[in-house]
Amino acid sequence: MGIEIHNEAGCCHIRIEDELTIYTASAVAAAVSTALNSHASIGIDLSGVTEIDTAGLQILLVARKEALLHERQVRFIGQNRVVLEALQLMNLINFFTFEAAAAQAA
Amino acid sequence: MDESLINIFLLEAREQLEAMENGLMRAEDGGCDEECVNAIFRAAHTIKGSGGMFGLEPIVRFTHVMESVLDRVRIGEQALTPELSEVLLKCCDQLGLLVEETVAGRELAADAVALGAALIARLEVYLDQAPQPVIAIAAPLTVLAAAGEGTPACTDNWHISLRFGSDVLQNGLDPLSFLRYLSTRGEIVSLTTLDDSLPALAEFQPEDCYLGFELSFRSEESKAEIEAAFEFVSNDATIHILPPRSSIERYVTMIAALPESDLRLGRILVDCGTLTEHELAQTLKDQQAVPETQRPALGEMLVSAQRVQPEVVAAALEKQRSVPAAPPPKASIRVDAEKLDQLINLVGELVIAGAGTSLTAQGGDTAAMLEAASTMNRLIEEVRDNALNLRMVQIGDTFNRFQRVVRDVAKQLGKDIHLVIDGAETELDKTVVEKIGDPLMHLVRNSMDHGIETAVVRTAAGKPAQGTLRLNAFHDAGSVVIEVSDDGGGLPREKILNKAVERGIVATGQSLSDREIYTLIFEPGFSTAEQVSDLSGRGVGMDVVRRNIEALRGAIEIDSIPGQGTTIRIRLPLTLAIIDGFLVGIGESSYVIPLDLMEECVELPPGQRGANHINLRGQLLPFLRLRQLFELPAASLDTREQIVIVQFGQSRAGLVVDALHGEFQTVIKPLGAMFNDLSGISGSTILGSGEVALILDVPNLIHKVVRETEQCHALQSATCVA
Repeated sequence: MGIEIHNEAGCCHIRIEDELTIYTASAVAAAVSTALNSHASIGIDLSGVTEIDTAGLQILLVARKEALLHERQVRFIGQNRVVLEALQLMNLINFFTFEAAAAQAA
Repeated sequence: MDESLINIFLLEAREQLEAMENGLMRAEDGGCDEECVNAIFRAAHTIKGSGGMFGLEPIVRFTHVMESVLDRVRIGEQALTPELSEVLLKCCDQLGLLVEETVAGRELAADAVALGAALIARLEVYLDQAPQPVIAIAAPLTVLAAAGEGTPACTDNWHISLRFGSDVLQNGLDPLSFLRYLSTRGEIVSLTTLDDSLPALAEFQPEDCYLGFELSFRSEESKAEIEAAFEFVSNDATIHILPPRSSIERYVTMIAALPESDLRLGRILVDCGTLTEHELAQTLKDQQAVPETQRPALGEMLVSAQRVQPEVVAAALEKQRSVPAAPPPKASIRVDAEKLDQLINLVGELVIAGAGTSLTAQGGDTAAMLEAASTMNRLIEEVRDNALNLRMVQIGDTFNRFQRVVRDVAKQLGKDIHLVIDGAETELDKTVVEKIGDPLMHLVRNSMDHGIETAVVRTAAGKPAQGTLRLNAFHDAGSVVIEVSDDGGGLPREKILNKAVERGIVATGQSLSDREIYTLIFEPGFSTAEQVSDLSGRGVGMDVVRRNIEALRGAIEIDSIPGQGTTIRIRLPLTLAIIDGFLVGIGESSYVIPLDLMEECVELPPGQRGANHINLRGQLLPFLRLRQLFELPAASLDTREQIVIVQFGQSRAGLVVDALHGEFQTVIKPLGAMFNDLSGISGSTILGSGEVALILDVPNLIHKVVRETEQCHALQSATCVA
């Protein structure tokens, strides 16, 4: 699993590779938390996620909730089939908007 | 991550597979009634359910097909023919392999995968027949105006409410997997995920679960089946299950019991389609009438009673009744074998310490001290017995595994053989049970291959065409005896003798008793089989069997009657760790003789220097001078000597010692690899005084004496003492 963080025009992008599951949940949550503490706007890029479970979905929900509570902006990037299928099963699709993945920065 | 849950799954899956196998074998014999079929179905069903809990897709997929076929059998649409049982037995084996490999995280080998696919294809043939029309459950609302239960809701679906405990993710279960699994058992018509418990990011614990679910679920399965699907997760979640058309009261009660606000929950139930707006209004009105329900504890699963259905759906009721309730939980717990061994070790040390205390108490004079030491010893003995008892397991499980073996081997040999099991409740030390399996296997296969004749030969001899193999176990004077008997042709006495002469094991013209001849088959490399079959006859088996048995401090003997059959008798000590012994002294040294092998003690009249037999009440008893054997310095002429008479199996002998010190319990401490070749000594122990005493290997010593006696006979010279 990998977490890549890069800043782009004041927005902190967190890209998650491979697993977004209970095994990686702590690391991802920490990254999201740090990012939200220092940036008003963050993006969570899920296009590289290959596996997601309940723990992973919870992180997405928490991020979204944080955005609503503290007037931050959290964008979800990448229309990843694995993620969408899981959200669909839990009937949470309507909670999220997913932007198409941006072209890879050089 | 908690590994122990998946281990429990593995252990229970193995048990279920065994149950399935037993049921299917009964079916082959034509002895499978309704309850037996249900048991087989339930086993498949449980494995599928549990496999689903852990997201073990390959297992779920494979078991699903088995379950579908078994379901048809259960409701009478398909007969459990011998052919079908055969296929299902093979599926059982395949499933066993699948479970082991999947849990270990290994991929199945290519040929195993192919076999699995072939088996599924064969099963699917049984599913192709057009199913009988299922009687629809839907009934008009008016018919269901019922008896004192309140107005029913009109939904045709189950309503399931799940609130997972925070630890569920750490325990290895994934709600997402579970939802996927539910979709295989029916249709999730509608679902709402509740994240009310989700805290702010600052308080968020990534490995805890905060989610709950309300869902409307359509399924043809019975209440018992749906409940069973939740069994594995019930410890980690609060679950409410409401069958279709439950009374409004039930929903009211459930809403009151859940943590979220009544209004919110009511809204969710409407969104789910479980309640109509009208019904919702009614529940909110009824809320006042319902007393404050206590919030159920985690692990409680509240399922409301199924409403009584009218006669039109009697068929549905029939189906429900045919799935019996889950068996009552056994009052036992699983214990780590290592922990048990540690306990036994400690008890052993305790026994030694107790002996030391007794000794000290005896040295002093205080009556109170003696009394205290005596009480303590009594308690230690009880603890010791209880601890040892923990290690005892019934041999029945081991014996039962042979049903399958006998069935398969009989088929392979083209013989008709029936296995009878006696004494299944006989208990043995668990280590012994583990190690006796292989020797028994060899003996059983031998009996089937060489002992029992083909049906043709048997009928010609006037015997029933079906041969009988008997496994028997019982306790006898401190030992456990296991017998493997057959009603075959018996051992070929002449052949064995000739072979032995041929190999130079026995001198020509030497006269041997029948038993001695039969015992020759335990010599290494011995085999009278004309052809070495796949199973046995290579001559590497029987001596290994004997060595394995002797390694357990046991002995093996054979009885055979030509034309009638053979019985092989294995004698084993009840326990390997602690024994009751009798302390004897030779010169300055102390030795221990296992108490249960001792018969009596007799004084050896002085002046019998050259003798090695005594006349004991008319019987000739050979004896062994341990002083000589252990090369201890010769005794002075006037030392009084005692003979301790010991027995093992059918043999008796005397052991000459100087002093008898009395009974005492002892922990056997192994001597270490360096002393492996030491014959006559089987272990050591530490006395209360700190001194080391050696434990005599009585069977070995008796064997020595008997051998010497035979040689004596052969030489035709024996000095007897009248």
